[in-house]
Amino acid sequence: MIERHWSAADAMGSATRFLPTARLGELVLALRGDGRRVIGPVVEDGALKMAEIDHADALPFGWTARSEPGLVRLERRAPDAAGADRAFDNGPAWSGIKPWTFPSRVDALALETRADGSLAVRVDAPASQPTAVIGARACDLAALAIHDRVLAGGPAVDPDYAARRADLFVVAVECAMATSTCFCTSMDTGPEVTRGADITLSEIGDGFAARGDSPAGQRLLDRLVLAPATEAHLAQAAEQVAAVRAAMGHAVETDGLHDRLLANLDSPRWAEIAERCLACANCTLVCPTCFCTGTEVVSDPDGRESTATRAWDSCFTAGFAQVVGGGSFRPQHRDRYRQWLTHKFGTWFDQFGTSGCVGCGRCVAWCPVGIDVREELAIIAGPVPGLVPDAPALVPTAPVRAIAPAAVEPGSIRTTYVPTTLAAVRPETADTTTLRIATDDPALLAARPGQFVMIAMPAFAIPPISISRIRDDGIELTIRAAGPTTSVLARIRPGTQLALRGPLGRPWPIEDAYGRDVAIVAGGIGLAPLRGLLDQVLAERDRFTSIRVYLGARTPRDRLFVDELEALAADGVDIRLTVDRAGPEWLGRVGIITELFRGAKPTGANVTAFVCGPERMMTAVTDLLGDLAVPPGHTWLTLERRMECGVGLCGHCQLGTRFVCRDGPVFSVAELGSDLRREGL
Amino acid sequence: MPAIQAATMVLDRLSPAVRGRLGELAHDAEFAAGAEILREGIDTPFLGLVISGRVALRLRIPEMGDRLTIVTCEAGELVGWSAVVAPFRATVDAIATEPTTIEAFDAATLRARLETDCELAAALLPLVLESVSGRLTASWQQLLDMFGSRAPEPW
Amino acid sequence: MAPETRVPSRAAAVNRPRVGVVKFASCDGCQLTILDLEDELLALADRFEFVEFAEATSRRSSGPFDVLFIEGSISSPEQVVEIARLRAATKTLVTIGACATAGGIQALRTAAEHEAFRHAVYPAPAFVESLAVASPVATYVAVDAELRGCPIDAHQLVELLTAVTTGRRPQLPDQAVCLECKRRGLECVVVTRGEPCLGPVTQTGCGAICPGMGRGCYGCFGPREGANVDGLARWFTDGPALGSLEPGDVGRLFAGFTGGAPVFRGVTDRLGGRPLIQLRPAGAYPPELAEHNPPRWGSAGKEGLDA
Repeated sequence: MIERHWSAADAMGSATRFLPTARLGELVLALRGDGRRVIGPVVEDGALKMAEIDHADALPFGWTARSEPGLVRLERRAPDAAGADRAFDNGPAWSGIKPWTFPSRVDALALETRADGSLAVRVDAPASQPTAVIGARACDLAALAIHDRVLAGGPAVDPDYAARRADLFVVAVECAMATSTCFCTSMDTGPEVTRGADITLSEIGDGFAARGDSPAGQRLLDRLVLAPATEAHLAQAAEQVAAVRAAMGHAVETDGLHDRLLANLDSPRWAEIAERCLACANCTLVCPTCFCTGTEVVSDPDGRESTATRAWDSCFTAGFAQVVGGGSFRPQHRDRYRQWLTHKFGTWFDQFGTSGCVGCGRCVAWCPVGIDVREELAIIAGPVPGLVPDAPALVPTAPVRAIAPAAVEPGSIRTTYVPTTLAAVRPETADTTTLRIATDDPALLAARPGQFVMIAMPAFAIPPISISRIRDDGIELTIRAAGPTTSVLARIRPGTQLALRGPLGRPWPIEDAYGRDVAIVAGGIGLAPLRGLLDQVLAERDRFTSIRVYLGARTPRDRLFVDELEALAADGVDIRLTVDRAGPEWLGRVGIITELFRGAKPTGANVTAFVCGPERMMTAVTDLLGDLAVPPGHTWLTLERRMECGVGLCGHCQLGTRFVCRDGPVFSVAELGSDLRREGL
Repeated sequence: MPAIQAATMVLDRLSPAVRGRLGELAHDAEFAAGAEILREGIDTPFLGLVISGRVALRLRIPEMGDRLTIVTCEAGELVGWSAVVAPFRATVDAIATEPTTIEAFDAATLRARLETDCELAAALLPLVLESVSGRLTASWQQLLDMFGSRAPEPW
Repeated sequence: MAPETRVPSRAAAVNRPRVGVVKFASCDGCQLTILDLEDELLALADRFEFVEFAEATSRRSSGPFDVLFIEGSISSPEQVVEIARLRAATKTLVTIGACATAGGIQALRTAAEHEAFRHAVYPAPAFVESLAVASPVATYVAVDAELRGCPIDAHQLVELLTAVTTGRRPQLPDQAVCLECKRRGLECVVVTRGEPCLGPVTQTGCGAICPGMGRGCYGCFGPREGANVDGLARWFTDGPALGSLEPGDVGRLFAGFTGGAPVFRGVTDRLGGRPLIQLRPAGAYPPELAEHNPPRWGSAGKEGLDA
């Protein structure tokens, strides 16, 4: 976490100077003189955009902005009474600071197969350089604080962001004008600049009240040798921002918004919005807090060298929630709009302890069809019927609910790749293969059952693969050739080098089953992540009152780990197997996996069940276990969602309040609640 | 016979009186491994409760020269529901895949009894329906082929 | 199969995949876009054997092809036969450009009076065999991949060939143009200028060229996945930002190079805006002029399938 929360009050009073407009250029030059590029709002193609400037003259003096849902116009404004052109009475620049701290494309990983067959893994040092932004608004600073928490305050830190953020010097401007799309007062982020800036300017008359908010900012102002701001200056600055606050009013009722929104996941309004919403993703891309990214891989024609690039992505695209096999978890526009709005104003609290919205209004102004989140929130999460103003709320309220996220050590998840060697390959079935990976990497050897790794090889997408066995000399991965990347993985030869990142995710909570009856239920390839668990359960056999294994396979030929399991069965382990269909030579059971419970029911509160398979199978098993009085807190599932980063930074695998990769993939049925079955989440 | 004890006998859910009246119609049928119990398209001889062993319900697929096992029945389950559902002909071949004991209720006798013994009919037929419903929904699940590779992609 | 007349000269010649580029009803612009690759083209020629590529080489091949790129729509009876033959000779068939993937500009005739078009375009339409509809290739044969655009983005073609050789899935995004527009840091022309732009409903891949030049996207990459064309059209006709365009003008926006794509065509069908072609009066061209314009295929006077 980047700490930049010094109090603005520390620098108030005598520290505030007066910077005449004519000397604003000196500030820009001083920043450039320190070796920083300077970013500020400029008029470009009819809008205000953050761009590199080399002089204060480039700033939008004399321009104001009109902003409505789906409509932005810049207009010339006459000089004020004192004859001065004002530079910052035009609202936040549309592109904001995000392109400078979190660029739309960043090379994340380069791989090369050398002539000798070995693999070179290269992670470029962040291409950061000292940067100063001038003209950041209170909403922009609030957005930076949110990104600090999301990208640099969690267990995995985005190294590129962290480097760019450390290199950033912020000259903020307190707004003296709000556009009609601004609503920072509702989100409690502005218009006053209270945190996160190095210097804060208020545009007054023929100059600026300039406040040094950080030691570096104060030092810079000292160097400019400015007269102190007068009482009149300070009063005018205070008056201006108060007027802006009053003008903005209170467009979004945030009282209880989190709960009101999440209570309305089935609102008919989602479908109505979907008739207007183009799912074009503009709102997410202009949003200063949206952080979702996808991975693009570019390679040479031989596939020996490739670069994986992290690029802005959006929850409004079909591919965003797509998994191998082509299915998307959010097929319809209404699912995608719901995901965006409920994340921004609801589940963001659960994940990061703050709102995901800072009230800058960009999503309103830059929606090409003028959809206004303020209006939609009022309708979807509207006042509870019968609730009169000032009466106590009927639903629990959480104004700006500060739910502390799980205590994590920032940066505790490793985000780098380690080269490993494929030691052996064992075909399991026609389409499934077990890879034995040799490594002496201590972190990989310390993996726990249920965790997964990301596998990178030149030219291919980087898939998450669950660990099917943890050995003294490496790990095993069992892969079904479902898509092109997994097909290639299933065909590679021993000796090939692979770059692995992990272990990632939350393991099976074996300790939850100590002293209990263990039921392991696996369908198809779902046995892979449970194999390591079975290893460990058997190694600690005495800790459990009983162990039963229920297996489903497509046909007898599609059974996994047959020799191993037959040996265990011969050793007295209770293993039951059924197949979906079989020829006459098969004398075993045929039928669905839940039928296996008929003969040996995992019943009651003493059972801990570990379940993995297709989601439909898991819900069927979950229902049955519920009927058999197994508490939902004792049934553990591992979910499949699209995962691109594996560490909670890319946003793809979100399910309600969770990132499946980081908070799961193992969850208890109690934790998932109704989210397990909810369509389009 | 631990298998029997472990299994829930579906007919145990009948009241003792009804179970007793049904029991009067019953005879135990023993089948060796490989023996044919039902043949698709032929009148179903009895409604049976599997006491022990395993019965495979198979469909003949002539062009494959083979039979495909759709589902297996084990201790506690009913086989031969078509004994009480028109047109009273078996919908599958039923083969014992291991030595199997079935408590069998002769089809014609049972149907005649169900016409007069309304209490028996009201108690037994829902259990038959439950069995058919279980087969139906299981077939839907199997139809999804959930453990198979999903829809192939061009790449 | 015709034997090859020239021995491949490059070192990597052994087992190079055989690639062809053929055209049907089209302007050759996509082929020229491939030639614009220049440096990359040489690298491609090292990896692939271009056995048929009219704009680049005089070599001709009747197949077989490992990868065959097809430009142009299927517009005449002979093309229907030829495309079936090519499909049979090809492992991976890829359609390139708006014509091959959506019918192209010539698909405008699809919803219009065919005879009127024939008379408007040709002095002696009796000599011209053409189908009443110009169709995307996928109407007649199975297509393995399509590269959209008028013209295509040649880098997508390189990506596709790379994917073929490495065995991976080519990364051909199905998202809206807006994603690339915003990644490039371009402001939205609909919002700032009231410029009608089809970007939100059009598949990306062009690199947001038109918004980058300050104009609206005209949809040459065709509809994206889940294109909400009605939502966009409604904003153009009813929304305050554009000053309420006439329905026919909005319909016309969708009747461009990919106007034959069903999703776009639906908008034009509802809102109007198709070009109106008047039948040329009989005898407008003297018969002797027609005799000097023999048809490319078939014999004079032969009836087309649509006649």
